[in-house]
Amino acid sequence: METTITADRERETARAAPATPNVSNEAYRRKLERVDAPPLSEMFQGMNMLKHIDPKYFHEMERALERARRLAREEAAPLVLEVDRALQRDPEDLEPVWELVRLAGRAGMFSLLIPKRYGGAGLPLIASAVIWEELCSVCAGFGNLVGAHYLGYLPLYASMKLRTWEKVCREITATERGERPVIMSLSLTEPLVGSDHTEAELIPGAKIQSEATPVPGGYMLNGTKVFISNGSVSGYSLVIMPTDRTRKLETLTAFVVPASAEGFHVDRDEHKMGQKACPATVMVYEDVFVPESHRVMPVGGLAKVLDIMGPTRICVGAISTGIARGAYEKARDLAMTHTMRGRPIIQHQWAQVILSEMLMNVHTARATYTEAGYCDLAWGTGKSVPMVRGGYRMKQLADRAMDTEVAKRFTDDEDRVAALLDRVLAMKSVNVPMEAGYGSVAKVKCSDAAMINAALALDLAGKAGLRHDRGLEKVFRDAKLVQIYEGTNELNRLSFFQRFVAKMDPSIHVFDRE
Amino acid sequence: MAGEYEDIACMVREFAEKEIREAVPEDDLYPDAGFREPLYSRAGEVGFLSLLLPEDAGGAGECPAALAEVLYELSRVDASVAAVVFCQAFAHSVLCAAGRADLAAAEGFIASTVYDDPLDLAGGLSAAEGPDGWLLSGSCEDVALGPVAASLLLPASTGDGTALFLVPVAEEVRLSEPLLTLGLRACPLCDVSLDAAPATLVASGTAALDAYVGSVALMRGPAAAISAGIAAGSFAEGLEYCRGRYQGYKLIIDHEQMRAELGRIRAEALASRELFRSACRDGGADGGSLGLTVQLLAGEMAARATTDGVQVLGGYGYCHDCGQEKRMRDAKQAQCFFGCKELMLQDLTAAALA
Ligand SMILES: Cc1cc2nc3c(=O)[nH]c(=O)nc-3n(C[C@H](O)[C@H](O)[C@H](O)COP(=O)(O)OP(=O)(O)OC[C@H]3O[C@@H](n4cnc5c(N)ncnc54)[C@H](O)[C@@H]3O)c2cc1C
Repeated sequence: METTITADRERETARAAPATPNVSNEAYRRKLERVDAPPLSEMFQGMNMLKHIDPKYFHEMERALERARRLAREEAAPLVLEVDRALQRDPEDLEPVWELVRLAGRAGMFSLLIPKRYGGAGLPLIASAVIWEELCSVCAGFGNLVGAHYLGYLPLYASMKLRTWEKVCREITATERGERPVIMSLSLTEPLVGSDHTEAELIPGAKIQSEATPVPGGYMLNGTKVFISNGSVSGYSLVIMPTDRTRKLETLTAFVVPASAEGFHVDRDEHKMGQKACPATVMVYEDVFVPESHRVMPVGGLAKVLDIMGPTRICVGAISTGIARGAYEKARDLAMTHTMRGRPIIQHQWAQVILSEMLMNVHTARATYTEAGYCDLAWGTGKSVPMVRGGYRMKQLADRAMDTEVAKRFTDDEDRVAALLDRVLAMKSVNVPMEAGYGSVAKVKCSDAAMINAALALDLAGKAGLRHDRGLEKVFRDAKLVQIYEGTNELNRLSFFQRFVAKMDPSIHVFDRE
Repeated sequence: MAGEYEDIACMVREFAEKEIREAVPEDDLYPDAGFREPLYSRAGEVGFLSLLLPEDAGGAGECPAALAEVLYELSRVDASVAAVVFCQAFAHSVLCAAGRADLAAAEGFIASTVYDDPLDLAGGLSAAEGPDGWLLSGSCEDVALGPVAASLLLPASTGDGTALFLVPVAEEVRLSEPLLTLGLRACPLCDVSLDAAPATLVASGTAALDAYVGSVALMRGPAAAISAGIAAGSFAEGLEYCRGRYQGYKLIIDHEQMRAELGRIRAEALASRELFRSACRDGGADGGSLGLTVQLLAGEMAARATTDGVQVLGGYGYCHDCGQEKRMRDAKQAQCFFGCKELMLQDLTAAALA
């Protein structure tokens, strides 16, 4: 009786409440039907991929995995705890960081995505995901040191400023195996602007203090950037600033700035909880002159690029999955070698359930970032390049074409490049909101899995997990960062909501002023 | 506030503001920074280091409920200091329960194995009785206060079972370098190895176990108070930050999402505070189940409240300059007092079956 009354009341309330203030119920129902029943191609990115897959893709991934595994397990693993310890003692002494930079450089980690003709490995972005997972399963700071380099490199690659790109590529490959490899960083965040940089809609309200004032022959950069991963060890930083602070959204753009530029200095490296092997730096630009050729994005182009953040968030998904896996592997090893109440931990049923849960988290996280990777290949702006049938041949052809003087001259003309980007974004087969949305799913779910596994590992290990020398507490400290950078998980949730839910009704506001 | 302890809480708050707050980031660098001896001289003078000792043994003769209030207030500012007070109180509690308050009255810190499972003691130490008394040999990991202690309260096997001993730190006692731990860093830990070290027998057989396990039961409420204090600190810092940080066209405190997040942290801080108080009121009367429950839940709440507390501050929360990352580490470390939380779950069900 009670149930019936409640159900009746619910039905009544549902009838009484308008479904939405400005759309008739019928129209709303039809709209919902469309949104609620996505096509197969939207539901299963993996299947999309299978339509196009190139068999070489698998081998490429396998080779990448082997290479990263050897570096991580055989060379980096014996060092990373010591490096973490040294940086806890003195976060400003960068020698231990350089040691890892050299290690990664000798293994060719900084030129993975650079074309073969410039001395790189010419891997597609998706192959890099397995590399981040592998490196981060051993040490997230080490993996991030390599990952943050590509955070700076990728926008430069996507910028189509071929001459500047080539110059930087050649410098990276020429120095990679030396004493001081030239690596990159991305300088976006400012003391007063963190989350406000992650969505185009938020930029008009952002309290951006930096500015790149146009001067004859180039720009004069002023401002402070904070939390810049790799900042104090990078040879180049991709610096984002507006050319006019009163018109931020319309004028935000990017510059490639060498660490040797006059007027630039590193203020300090943050003393942070984890991922110590990858310094987070406060970078100061005081009247730093940057020539026109080093502006690598059309003025106002950042708003578009922010929307193409999907791929970098997929990389964070892979990094996070690596952390979740590292937590599982270390907890499993500890459970085999330590006892509780007279039995090896691994022989306790509760411990077996925890370890299973952790490994399941790794599998679901990996499936999530892989799916997002497929989404990028199927719908992203880079879709036509490496992955269609016979794509490797096409990629080589495209690479060769980009090396011609004609192509370089074309990309010298900024208006043409901007128009090309607009055309690509308008293509029916490109769906940037879906790509960005899947990127957010990967970023949030994988980073949550990393944090959950790191905490479970400590719950399982008890006091043995608390000591630095056992390596488990480091995973816990390292894991938290992935829920914060590349857009906090909350901002990513809102961003996902906007792209996947709010799209059904323009009256739903997400990031607006009010 | 539990009214009867308001005076003591006020005094602790004043002490924490005056003597502790400013030095928290520096102290947290231990073992790369020094241990603050002068702070503990003053803490000793005001009686924080002998709260549970009977008055005739030179202590304050307070009950665990009063200790818990002290720990709660200290942890809101620095849980490491609270952990030092907690460890000292635990050792005193065991000694008093074993009828050896006289040993507790000695000067200096008494190190103990507060991170060990009380049902899994005496792993690596053995004791032998010689003509001049007991000698202990073997090794023991993660001894809390070890690096700064005058004596060590250690379980060892005698052949007849487990007994408790007090070992003065002397030549035969080798201490490792202080360990770097996840959290509560300024409550120092080290490994200990003993080579026929002279020791005083505190208790043996069931008396030893009763003293130890009984003290653990009494101290679970105070352990929960440390977690609750950390959660309260996380809320306070989170709230303050959100009131001053502007993002997304407004102060972040005005985003509903942030209010929800802070609301959750506050709920966990308040609930864990009420939990530790109820455990202390109960005083272990139900065979320790409430204490276990409270330590378990308050620990989990603090772990969540501090992880979210970092998130509320974004990138700043991840850096040493603000207190949140330390709270996140401290909260996780505090969950491990008296063994792993999974074993606590086992014990809780076992208590219901008994
Ligand atoms: C170790 C580290 C490395 C980093 N590396 C880099 C790097 O290489 N390059 C770079 O440019 N940046 C880097 N960052 C910066 C990072 O991307 C920012 O920290 C992140 O975007 C969050 O910004 P914030 O720290 O200013 O936090 P805030 O934006 O101030 O956020 C504080 C809180 O408010 C919430 N919040 C903010 N806005 C809203 C809103 N509109 N609605 C609801 N809630 C909101 C957030 O979710 C968060 O919980 C790094 C940060 C760290 C800690």
